[in-house]
Amino acid sequence: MTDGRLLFAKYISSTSTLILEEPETQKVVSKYSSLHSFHSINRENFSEEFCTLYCIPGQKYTIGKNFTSRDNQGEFIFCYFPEVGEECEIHIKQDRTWWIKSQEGNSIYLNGEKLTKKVQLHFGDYVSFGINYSVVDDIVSFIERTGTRNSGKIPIFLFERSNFLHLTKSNQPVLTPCRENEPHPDASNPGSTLGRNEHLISKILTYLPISTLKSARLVCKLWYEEATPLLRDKSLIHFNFNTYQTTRESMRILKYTYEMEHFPHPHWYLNLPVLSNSANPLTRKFRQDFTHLLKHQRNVESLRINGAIHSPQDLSIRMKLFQAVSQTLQDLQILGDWGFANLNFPHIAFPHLKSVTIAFEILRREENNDKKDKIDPHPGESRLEEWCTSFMDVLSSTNLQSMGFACSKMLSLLFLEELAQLSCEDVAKFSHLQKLMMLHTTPSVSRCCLTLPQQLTKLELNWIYPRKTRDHFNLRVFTDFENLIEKNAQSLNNLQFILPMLRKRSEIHIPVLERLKYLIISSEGDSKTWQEKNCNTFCPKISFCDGAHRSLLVYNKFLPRLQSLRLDIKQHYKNSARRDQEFKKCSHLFKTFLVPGERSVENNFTPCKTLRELHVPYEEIRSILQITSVEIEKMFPNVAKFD
Amino acid sequence: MPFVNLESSDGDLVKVDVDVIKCSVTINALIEHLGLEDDNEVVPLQNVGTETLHKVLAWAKHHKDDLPSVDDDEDDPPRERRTDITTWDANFIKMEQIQLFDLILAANYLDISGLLDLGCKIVADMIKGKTADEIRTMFNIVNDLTPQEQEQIRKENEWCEEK
Repeated sequence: MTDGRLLFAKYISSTSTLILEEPETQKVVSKYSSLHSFHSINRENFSEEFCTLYCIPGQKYTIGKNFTSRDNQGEFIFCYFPEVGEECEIHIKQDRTWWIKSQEGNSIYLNGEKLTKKVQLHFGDYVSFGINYSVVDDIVSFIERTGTRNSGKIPIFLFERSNFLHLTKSNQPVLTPCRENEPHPDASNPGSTLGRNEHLISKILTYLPISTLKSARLVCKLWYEEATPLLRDKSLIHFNFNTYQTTRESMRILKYTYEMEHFPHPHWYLNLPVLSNSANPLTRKFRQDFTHLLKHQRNVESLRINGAIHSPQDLSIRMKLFQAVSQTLQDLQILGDWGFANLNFPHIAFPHLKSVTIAFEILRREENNDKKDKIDPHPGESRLEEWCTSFMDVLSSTNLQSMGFACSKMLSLLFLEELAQLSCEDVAKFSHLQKLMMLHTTPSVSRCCLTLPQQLTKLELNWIYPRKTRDHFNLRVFTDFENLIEKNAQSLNNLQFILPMLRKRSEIHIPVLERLKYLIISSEGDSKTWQEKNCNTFCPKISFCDGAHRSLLVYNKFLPRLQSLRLDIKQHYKNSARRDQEFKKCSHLFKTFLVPGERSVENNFTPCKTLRELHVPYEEIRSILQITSVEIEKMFPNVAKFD
Repeated sequence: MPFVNLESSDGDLVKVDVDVIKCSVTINALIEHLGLEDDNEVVPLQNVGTETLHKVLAWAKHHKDDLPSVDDDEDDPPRERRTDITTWDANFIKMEQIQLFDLILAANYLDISGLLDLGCKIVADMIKGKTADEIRTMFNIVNDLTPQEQEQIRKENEWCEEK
């Protein structure tokens, strides 16, 4: 199956470059051997300057300025040149031959001859619009001469074999496939059975990165079968429709539905364009293309969408998308801005949804304002509440296990309040919720989370904020956070948070966390502002408490199941003197976990045998804590990964 | 202390502490099945050569006091399977490719998950970054994909991006 492409003739000038990879293209070279232009190979220049025409029997391509419909025109290629008049059609017959036809009254030339009837198109043919160049061999000077008058752009295209997909050149000899059950020629090789043991191959492949999984798919049928599901799990398809200005973007949809027909990918990342002007043919084309894409795929499990919503058209695209994926979707992440607070989230049921991350802001467009694009970043709170209510209402009927809020503090709180209210009113709602991710954990967010009836297994709290108090001597400014940990102490399996740098000393008390396996604590480190203001800052001190008694960290008592521990400073300075200073300020964080006992008494610590993975900035802290790697190994004898 | 006699495929007998070899699910099941009250009872291992068996036992001896393996349960197993290896294991596993492959096949046959994981991690490390052709040579595999199928796979591969 050979695809074709239309290469924009701007690059067929004496200073240009052209890809010469396959013998077929070399025919083109010999045909125009008098040209001195076909030389070096340079892919980069081609990003936007050609479009691929897939060889799909029955497919039609239309070149022109006015897109009307996919049904009539097939795949549409926009071509905005004054010389381009009515449309030109290229279509593929069932025998995979290419044919070109022009609308009546058009001046379209094929290799210098005016098109009057349907003509077969061959690789190496030139198609020009509105310009008759009859001396083919002098095309270079023709383009250069004409081109200078028109900023280097004239609508002449070279139709050639597409090499776009043949990036990896295979030099292997073609092997005759060996029949199943036939004894393997090298079965006597002692190591050879390993490569044909599907259980072992699949186990080995689980440790491989995507790039090698791709190679593994090409090894043989058995390896292909084992590597394919792993590649599917680890990878995603990214569609960047930001502008939808070029044919390349629209061709990508066709290419996807054509090439991935047998490998429909369940993980998508979509950047959607802003479709404010519905009269624009590009907007119409995007909607039709997008519908085409959705029609061809019904198994999307995870979806990350980005792009602002500024108009009802934008919302309707998302409606279409959500409707198409609703029956299979498990993981949803929404980024970008929801530019219309009065456009509520569509009411669609997602029966299999397990995780949702909200990373957008809701803005409100002032509809009666003269300046159409002015957006009020602070819409009325009641409006927002209504939005959150309708959104949470959609989610309440799902079996959500995990929710993430990477939005503003105010919006996070609104969502959480709604979540808490719905969960308390009806125990059936959000009853599967176990994991929460917050970007900003303010005292009020913590208090709101406290009212949730669910026992949580994972809390990724990121930035934690102290309670405001005038009492300078009150060390306990994180009590809301502490209460939240205390409440979920029995169920927590995974805990992550970032300690802020404060102007005063403070303390955080952590209780016994019986089930905790993963713990990540970072210190904010001194921000530039702190550093510039030359402020004296402190990192909150962590201590472990059993009931009311503060105690040194004894791992098998406080963290009896800990498997992975990561301690770090978020923003460290490049200047080593300052970095040392920062590490000194935060040294007690590292000391609490790495040197929990007094060193003077030999063996007064109980080693932590459960820990398998330890990540600490060892180089920076070893001199500050005066600790050696031998001591760390003694403390954590089963750590396999230490960096 | 109870012992068990293992017979390698080369016909050699090796006397092993039951406590050491308990990591093997296969042998554990055999011991339970056979009862093995008599110290002279022999467990034949048709798929494991003497050299490999000694390697397996060295590993088992070092790891006999290990905690049960980390359960990759439903609670946030890291997406990327962990590829960490302790220093002892890293030194232990330094061997020829043929021996390594034999060791993996033995660990698979004896059902010793810790050793199997270790072997697979090492082989994965050896494969990392290799082309399909190089992998085929390494495992002595004949390519049974047609050029058209390979072309289709390449097209699909190009679509898949890192998550």
